[in-house]
Amino acid sequence: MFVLIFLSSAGFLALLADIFRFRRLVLPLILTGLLAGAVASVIFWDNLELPAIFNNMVRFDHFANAFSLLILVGSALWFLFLKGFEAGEDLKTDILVLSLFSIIGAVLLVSFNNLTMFFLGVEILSIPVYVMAGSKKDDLASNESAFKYFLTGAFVSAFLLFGLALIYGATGSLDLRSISDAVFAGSDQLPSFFYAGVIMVVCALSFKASLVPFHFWTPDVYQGAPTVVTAFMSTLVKVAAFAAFFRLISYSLMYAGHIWVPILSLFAGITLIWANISALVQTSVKRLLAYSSISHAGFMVMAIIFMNTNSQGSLLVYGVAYFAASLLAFSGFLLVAGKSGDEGFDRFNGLAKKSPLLALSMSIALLSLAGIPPLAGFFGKYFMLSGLLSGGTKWHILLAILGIVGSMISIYYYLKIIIRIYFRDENKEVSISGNGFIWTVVALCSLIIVVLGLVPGSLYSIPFIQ
Amino acid sequence: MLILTLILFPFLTGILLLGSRQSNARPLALLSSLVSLGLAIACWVAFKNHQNDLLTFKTPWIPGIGSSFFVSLDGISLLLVTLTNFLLPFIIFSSLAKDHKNPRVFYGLISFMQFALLGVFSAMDGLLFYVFWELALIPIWFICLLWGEKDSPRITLKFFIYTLAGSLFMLIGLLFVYQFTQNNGAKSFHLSDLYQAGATLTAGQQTFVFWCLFLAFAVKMPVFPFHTWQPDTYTSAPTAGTMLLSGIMLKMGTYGVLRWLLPMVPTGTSEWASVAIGLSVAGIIYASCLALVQKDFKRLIAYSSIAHVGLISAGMFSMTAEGLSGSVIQMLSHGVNVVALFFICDLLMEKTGTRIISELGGLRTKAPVFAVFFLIVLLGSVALPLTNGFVGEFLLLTGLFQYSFWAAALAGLTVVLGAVYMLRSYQGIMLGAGGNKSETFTEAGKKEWWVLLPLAMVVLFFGIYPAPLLEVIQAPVQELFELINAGIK
Repeated sequence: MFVLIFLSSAGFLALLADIFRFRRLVLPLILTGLLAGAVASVIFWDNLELPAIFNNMVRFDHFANAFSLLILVGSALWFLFLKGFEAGEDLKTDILVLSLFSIIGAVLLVSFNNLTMFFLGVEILSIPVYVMAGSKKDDLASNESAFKYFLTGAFVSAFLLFGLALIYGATGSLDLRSISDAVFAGSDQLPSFFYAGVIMVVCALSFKASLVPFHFWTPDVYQGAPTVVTAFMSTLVKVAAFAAFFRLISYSLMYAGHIWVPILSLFAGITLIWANISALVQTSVKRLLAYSSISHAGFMVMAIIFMNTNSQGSLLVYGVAYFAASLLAFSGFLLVAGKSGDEGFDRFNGLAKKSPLLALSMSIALLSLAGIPPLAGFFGKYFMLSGLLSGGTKWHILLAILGIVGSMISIYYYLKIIIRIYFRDENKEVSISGNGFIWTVVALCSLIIVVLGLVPGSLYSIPFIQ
Repeated sequence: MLILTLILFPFLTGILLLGSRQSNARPLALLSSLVSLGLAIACWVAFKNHQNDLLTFKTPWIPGIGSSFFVSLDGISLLLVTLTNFLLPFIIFSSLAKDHKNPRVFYGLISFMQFALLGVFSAMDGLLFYVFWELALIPIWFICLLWGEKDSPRITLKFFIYTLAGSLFMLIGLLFVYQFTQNNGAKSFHLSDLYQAGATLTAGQQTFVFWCLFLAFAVKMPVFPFHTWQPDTYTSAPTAGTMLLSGIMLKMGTYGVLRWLLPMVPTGTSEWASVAIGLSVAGIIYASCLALVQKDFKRLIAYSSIAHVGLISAGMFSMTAEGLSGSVIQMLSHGVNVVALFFICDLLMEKTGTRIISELGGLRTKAPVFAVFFLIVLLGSVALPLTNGFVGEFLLLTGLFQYSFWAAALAGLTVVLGAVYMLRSYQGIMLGAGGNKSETFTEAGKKEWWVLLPLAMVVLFFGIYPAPLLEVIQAPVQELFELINAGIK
């Protein structure tokens, strides 16, 4: 709870910056808020009694604290990343504040205990991002991106709300635990519209998490939005959406598995194949990263499909690995792209000669995304596959094999960039000009990927008590 | 603790090399490879004195899933570790004179590669084995990519995807068995727990695991029809890379079969052994025939390597005691012989600028000493009695013969065809009239003596007196054999 209070206070203070002219202090203020929130979630790690005062609307249990920490640390990195690339006048206060509010939505999404809060979280997360996607007002692509994102997002919100209403109608409660009890008690007597409600919610969340076949908005929105915002969407929004997806299903719809498991398995299977094949033919780095993020969604959803005691740890490891590697890949891309706006792969040519360290970090990020041991990304995938196989049915094994096939395809497009970095002749147009903020992000992300790869058990074995 | 030093030393050297000066990289790499060899010898001393605590190290790694950092050396592992550390100084030494750009990274990668290989050969934990297995791929990929010939990006990409695809199936196979493990109520990646879990699987489940693991090992060895990455990669890689790939990395596949496939799912293997042997034998004949028509000597060795490894694989899958011992011995012999052959091939390239057999000829008159070395190595490769190649191939064919007469008869063609293509290439390169590029060739110098003399001595020594090798592998192979036979349902 303190996380939300700290973040909101920082957000409202920051809103005053343009009036009282302390714009320089906004970023330190936000970072302090994030830090205070992170400290709070560590200190109150075991404090499970607190929720009673809020009518059980939010509940900071272990799951919520762990994912809040991921979101807070991740967004701190993202703010440094933003500061590094949008230096000076470009960095408007409103973007900072909007993203902070979006992060509040993300924290709400990992801690809700009631369907109302869940819906509020989704909206608080999404609405600022619609604006951020369109923040380059004079750029047509940015406008298009915001417009597409908003229209589809609004449509999906309606879908989600309708689904939630149907679930409420069938079970008579908005509280996650009561819903779960109702489903458990009357799995045969639930009215048929309960099934419709679950399917609608699952589809709406698949949309937010961009699983195929609800992914079609992703490449366009990701490509059109300013790259820093794209990085925000593909790291923070994505991880938060999956955490929320996971929390909703595991806390309330666990016993309705016969409805959502087949649907999600089907989505995951198509995602793994379709996203990776589409990524093969992309000519823009941003679009490639968009498809890569879709394909990773296909892996993350496995944690929901096999749903057992290890799912939370698996999702946490995958989330951290994916977050760090994606942010690092976006930093690398922005560094080589510079101010040119060129999204082609040529910008990576011969990077190893210009900046061996950046080349190394970029390789670490791409190899981790491809799932090569002993980097963090491998263990993310490993825990997912291992969880799936423990499910034991033929369908679980089939999905695991699809996952393997998908990552095999993905290796091709990740390695293509590494080959360009090391093998092609230098691209004379590119000059790498980073600043302290960017190099800090690059170094920290590389460090996270390597260290988590060496001790993956540290996050996986966290005891989760609901 | 000795084993931990042995494994971590190359890793630390690798980091040191990356941070060293370019000019210091070469001597440093050579020195550290010699220290590694010393450590391997120290392991032998410990092994002979039965100080097993020195050769085993275990500490929890990911306790949540029952995986530990567990490395240990038995006879088979120790031989392969020795092979690795024995060949490394030669590989590094032979590449010293080459003007590789950026030597600190080059030798740093070779050290990392050595680290991963040692890990593969000593890991006794399923997950650890898999991690080391994949880890070995990254440095060799960069070596082939950055220091290879012109076409290397395309070729190495194929190599990378091929091997990774195979090993991902291995991961599925290992995970599948892991789901059935029991160790005090928890799951475990411990080798013996995996063996026990494997034994409880039904024949159908074993078949699934067999194919998952076989795919990974078959790509790595490579067995026909998974070999298509190999000739291109061997040909385009820098010589040090080719030596690493063929001399040591190939043994990861054969070692994997011995340690992780046969004892874990013996029933599944015995059901499908006929297919595995069929593919291996087909590969032997196919690769030998292709070797016959190669014009490029390096490519010829690459194909001959497929043929040799096909015989090793066929012998292993015969699941007889002779076949298993033969495969271990042949792994060592092939490692030594193929590195020597690639060294010779590289020498030809360096001194004459060509590897095309028809452009060479008459070199024997210019370099009689070199001709003798070449002949010894070549005879070892065609498995003439009294060379090291003979011992292994003889045992392999004996084992295969017990399995099936026809398989042995067809696989035996490798000896005949091997003699044909090897002797023909010797004739083309060394004998007859001088080719148009032969003029620049000179007699073996100091560097050639340093490499070829020890290798040729190994070829002859273990050909004439293989008893020490047989003695070392006897106990572990017997144990393996009993484990396999006990497991077959």
